[in-house]
Amino acid sequence: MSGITQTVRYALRQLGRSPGFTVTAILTLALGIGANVAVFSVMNAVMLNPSGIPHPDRIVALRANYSVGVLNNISMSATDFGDAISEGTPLAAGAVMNSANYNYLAGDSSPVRLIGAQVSWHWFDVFQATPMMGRTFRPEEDLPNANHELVLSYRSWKNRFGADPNIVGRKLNLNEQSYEVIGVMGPEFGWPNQAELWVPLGLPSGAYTDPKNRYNEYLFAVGRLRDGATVQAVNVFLKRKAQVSVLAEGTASYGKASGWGMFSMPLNDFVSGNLSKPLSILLGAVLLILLIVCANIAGLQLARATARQREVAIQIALGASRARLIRHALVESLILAAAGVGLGLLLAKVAIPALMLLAPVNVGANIQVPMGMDVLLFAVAVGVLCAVLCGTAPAWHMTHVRWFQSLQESGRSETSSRSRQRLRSALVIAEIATAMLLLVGAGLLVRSLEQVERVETGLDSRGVMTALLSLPPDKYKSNESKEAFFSALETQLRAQPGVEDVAMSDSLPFVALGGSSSFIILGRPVAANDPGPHGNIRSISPGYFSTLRIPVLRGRVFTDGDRATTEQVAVIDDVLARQYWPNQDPVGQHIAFGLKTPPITIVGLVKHARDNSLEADGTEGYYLLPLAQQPVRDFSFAVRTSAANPESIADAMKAAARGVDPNQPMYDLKSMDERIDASLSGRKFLVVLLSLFAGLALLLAALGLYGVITYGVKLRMRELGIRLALGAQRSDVLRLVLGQGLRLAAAGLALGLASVIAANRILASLLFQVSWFNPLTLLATSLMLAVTVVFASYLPAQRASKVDPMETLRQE
Amino acid sequence: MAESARQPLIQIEDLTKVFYTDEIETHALSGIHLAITKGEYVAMSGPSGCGKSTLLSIIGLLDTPTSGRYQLNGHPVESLDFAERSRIRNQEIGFIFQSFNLIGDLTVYENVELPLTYRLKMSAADRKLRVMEALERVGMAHRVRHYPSQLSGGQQQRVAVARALGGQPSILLADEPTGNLDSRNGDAVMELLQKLHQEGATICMVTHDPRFAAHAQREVHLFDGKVVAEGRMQEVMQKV
Repeated sequence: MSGITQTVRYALRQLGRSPGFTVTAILTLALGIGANVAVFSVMNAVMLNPSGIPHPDRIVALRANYSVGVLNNISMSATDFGDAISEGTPLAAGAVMNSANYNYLAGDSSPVRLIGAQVSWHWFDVFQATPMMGRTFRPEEDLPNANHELVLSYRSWKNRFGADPNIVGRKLNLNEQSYEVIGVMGPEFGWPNQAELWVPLGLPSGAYTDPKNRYNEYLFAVGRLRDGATVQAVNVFLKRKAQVSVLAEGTASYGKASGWGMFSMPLNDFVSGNLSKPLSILLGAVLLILLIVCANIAGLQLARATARQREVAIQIALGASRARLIRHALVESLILAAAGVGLGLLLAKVAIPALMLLAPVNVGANIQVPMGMDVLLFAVAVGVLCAVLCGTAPAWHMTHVRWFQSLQESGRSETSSRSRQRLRSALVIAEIATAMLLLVGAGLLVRSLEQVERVETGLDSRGVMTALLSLPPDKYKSNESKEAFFSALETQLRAQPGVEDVAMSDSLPFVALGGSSSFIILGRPVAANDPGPHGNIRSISPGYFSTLRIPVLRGRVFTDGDRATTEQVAVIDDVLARQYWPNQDPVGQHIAFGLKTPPITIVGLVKHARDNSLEADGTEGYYLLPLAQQPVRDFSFAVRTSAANPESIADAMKAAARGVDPNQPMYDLKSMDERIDASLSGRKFLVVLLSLFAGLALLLAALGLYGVITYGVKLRMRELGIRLALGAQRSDVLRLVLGQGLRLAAAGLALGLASVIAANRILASLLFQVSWFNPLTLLATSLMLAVTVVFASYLPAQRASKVDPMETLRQE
Repeated sequence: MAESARQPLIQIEDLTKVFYTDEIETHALSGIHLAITKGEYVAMSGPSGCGKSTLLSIIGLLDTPTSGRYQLNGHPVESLDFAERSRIRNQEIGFIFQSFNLIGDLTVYENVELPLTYRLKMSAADRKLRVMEALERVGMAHRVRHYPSQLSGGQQQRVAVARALGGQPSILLADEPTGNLDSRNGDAVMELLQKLHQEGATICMVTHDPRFAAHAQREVHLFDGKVVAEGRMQEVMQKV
């Protein structure tokens, strides 16, 4: 024990003797470790352990899919869920959820919209979540017309209700109905993560077994695995259930024709979805930065090892074992790493909120990123890795001192210093290569972003303001009442100054609330194994195309004359036309939702407009129906204004809604440009962070190079003095030292290029209409690195050129 | 030829060198008068700290005098800038240092070639000719690919002599050239310098060893920064 104490004390004394080195090493380690901990924490919260869910690995998302078509991972129907939890299921518990918005009216204040989730009564049991106050739902509360209880989220309780300790039992006016607060969840549970409250779903018990509901998929279903059960076991069970269902449908089975099925996936995989790749890449980037940091510190340690060569030689001469010297070196590195971990955790604590601000809404919204035990363990593991990486090479070099020669140091031999310098140079080459890889990655992503931003949306977003509004079902039960509301609202909006046009829809482009539906084409029989046509469906007002300036290609658009009582009509886009009416004129054709529903005449053909992504457009087309014929409760609307800033009419829009019904709040007011921009937030998040990390890598590589060149100059001081004594000009020395930096840069660039080639598949998977081999990006990156290298080398080179040969030779 | 024989190669008049450190003036050299003619072999001796190395540095244009005049080949050089002094040093002066000062990363050939690479107008072929000629003169032509660490001290000093000779300088300045050598190698280096002198080289050597100073034609003895005796070895010894 005393030996360890002595070693630690000795190491602390050694570090104390080099305060400049110690502070630099701890700060750079903290930077590297902090970045890793921050990214890992976010990844941990989003992917590995979504906030507030104990044992998330035991929870599965239950999903449906259609192998024919594009629906390969969608919600479940109530009937699907009923099958999933039926007898013999490997699930211990299951529950379903449907998103719901509630207009909350508190006293005489303005109504606000609360994000809610209608859940079956088992919801909290699946997540093993218990309330902080009160209770959760009982089976008898999860029935039609009995569902007027609610559980508040911790955030909502705190922010909306001032953390009222007597909230349980209080009645709240939601959607102009009275709901009783029966419980408040603790801060550790919030799933789905934007929910401010939960209310019972209240489906009739028969809904879960009714085969008529089979293909009406709108419920998000989850299940908790029984002890010992696996996801595979659930999948086998669901597959068997699906086969039974298809068999029961007989020969004309829609399920069979469409390739319908059910499956499960770990909830974490479902949550992380397409985020797993960008987050993994960011974690990879920060790990590379950590390696650069370690290379820098190992380089500095090697320099110190040279300076301490004589001291080590004396220790060896006095009988110190190699193991003891290695222990000394590693303990020093461990102390540095421990300090780096401590400071890194503090940095991460500051960086995480900034990271979440930059994160796309689906990552950042309401996600808690706690720095729990798993994060601390990660930080410790990273610290140990750093200690090993930073300490091994110097320890090896220190213990392979030619100690007898060192004691007899005559200044003639610099072999060991030179070999250390070579190792340091190799480390710097690796740093430059890593920086190049990150810079090329960031450069390619920036170019991809530019390409994505150039994608045509198919609509004119300039001057368009949008908002959402939900009507309470109890107050607006009839189609007439809904139609009357939106008709009055449209009139009010059109009366606002500066408003040029108004559109309403169940889901505007880039609002992403819309759904899809199968239909039939009248007069075109469907083959036995063909599930029939399928497309995205929208309900729109007559002003939709003119407000969004979506070009009409043929026929007509809707008018005020298209009423619920008049001929059912539809407008389709050119994508749907190409899918189902290739080389034909779809205008005048008839479609329907089924053989027993009224026919719908296609009256117009419009150009396709992107719906929610500039990067990936769905392969399915759109069919649009008049809002008057397909009324909805939740709708979004767009207002085209002549104002330079469309957001300036936000207040007028809210006032217009209040003018129609003061209890219905308008929410999520954003310009269309902002919505389009938000659709790129995931890519921008990656671009910003990777650029940031690439810049950090460049800075660290430059620091490493500066250190190597400076130390190289120090080592070569005598040589430079000799050169100057022999008649070298100062410019010769400047060129010599700069040349050293440029040679390292050239080697780093070559290695960097090789690493870019090696990583081309990963890079290519992130790019949009940009090749991973992009000469312009490679050239710009190489130039940037070259300029940085010249800057990093210039100062030591200039100092070297100022060497006084007389002074240097006098020091012999 | 007769004109150049009369004209001293090195002409120093009333030269002083003062070092200023922490408000203390140290007079390293005071009122030095010295002339070295072409083909002469001069030894500068004196106790440690007497200023002989400082004088050699000024003669070698590594340092500048505080006052006084210094003419090299008839040209005043005491107030030249660094670049001009470097150029003259490269072309007119060959240095031989006590600790050889070879560059460890360069081969024997590259070490000898090094000063020639600073002459912009010299072709690689000319450099090679000069290098091989110099190495042959010191008997090291067979070790061109070796590194200094692979040579003995005596061999390293011979390479250093070849490096000094390669540029065909007007004068060879040797600062304690045997200081890091054993007596056998020391004698060998002195014999080499003797041979070069006989072949016409002008040599100015700093030494504190009377045995080696005896090789020179003339000895200049310094004490406390002043020339206290000058002449043939025996005369100087008597004066001292």
